[in-house]
Amino acid sequence: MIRNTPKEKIGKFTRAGKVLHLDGDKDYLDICIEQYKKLGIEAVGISITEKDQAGAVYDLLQEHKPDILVLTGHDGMIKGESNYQNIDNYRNSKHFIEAVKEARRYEKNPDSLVIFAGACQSLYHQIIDAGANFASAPYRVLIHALDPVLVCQKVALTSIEKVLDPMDIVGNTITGYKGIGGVQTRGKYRIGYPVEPFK
Amino acid sequence: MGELRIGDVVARKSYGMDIMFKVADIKNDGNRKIVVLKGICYRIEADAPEEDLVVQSEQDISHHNMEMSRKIDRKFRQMAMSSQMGYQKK
Repeated sequence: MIRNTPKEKIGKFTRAGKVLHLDGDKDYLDICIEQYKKLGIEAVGISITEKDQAGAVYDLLQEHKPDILVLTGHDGMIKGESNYQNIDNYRNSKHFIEAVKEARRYEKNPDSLVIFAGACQSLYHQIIDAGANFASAPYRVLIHALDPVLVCQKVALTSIEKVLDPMDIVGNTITGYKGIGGVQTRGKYRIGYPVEPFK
Repeated sequence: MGELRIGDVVARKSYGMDIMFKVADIKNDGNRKIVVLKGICYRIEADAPEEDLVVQSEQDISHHNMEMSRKIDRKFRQMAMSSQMGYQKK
């Protein structure tokens, strides 16, 4: 017996990863949100200084339930300091690390909640050790305002069937491997079926 | 140079005017002014003494911004293309 196959074309729908973007710089936040919009990615942007992000992130995660979290703003090594391992030589890295730890208290699975954290010259490996999937800046270089968006784009629009190689993600940023690095991460894009026929 | 104000776009002489910043804050350290800077294209924060800074003209800024947005547009276009073909490529 052959099953009745419907004559009309049955559509599929898609769902990209949702982003929660906390930014210490209001101007950059606006630029980033505009870019998410252009890319068709649902994003919630909140302007909040780097040092306040750790205190606010847990509640914000609970409220917005994103797939991807961005913790950024401004950072920099303090001039004249040459000890790259000392966290006190960075203006905001410790705040990003604290915020990542808080976010991981909410969701510890790195494939459930994908985290990007850091800004220019941030203390890369400590942010990764705190639980971020992606961080800046392995070579302590300057990163571009839109680099976090480029990382999110790749994750949000890659199928959940695929595990992304950090090399591919980093290659898609403006700054490249000197500015951004991370760990293998599963994509967040899902296809659904069918679309209901009612207009 | 006139009085520096918050929001002015400046570059640093000591770094060969490499990147542009906006003035985020101005602090007094004794009789010296320490200016807190935030990059306008890069996510950098830094301190600089006032005398190290040069205010940039409107023309310089818009030239710089145009250059930057050209670079970014190219990047995003590249990405859009590679993500469309991403499934076949391996």
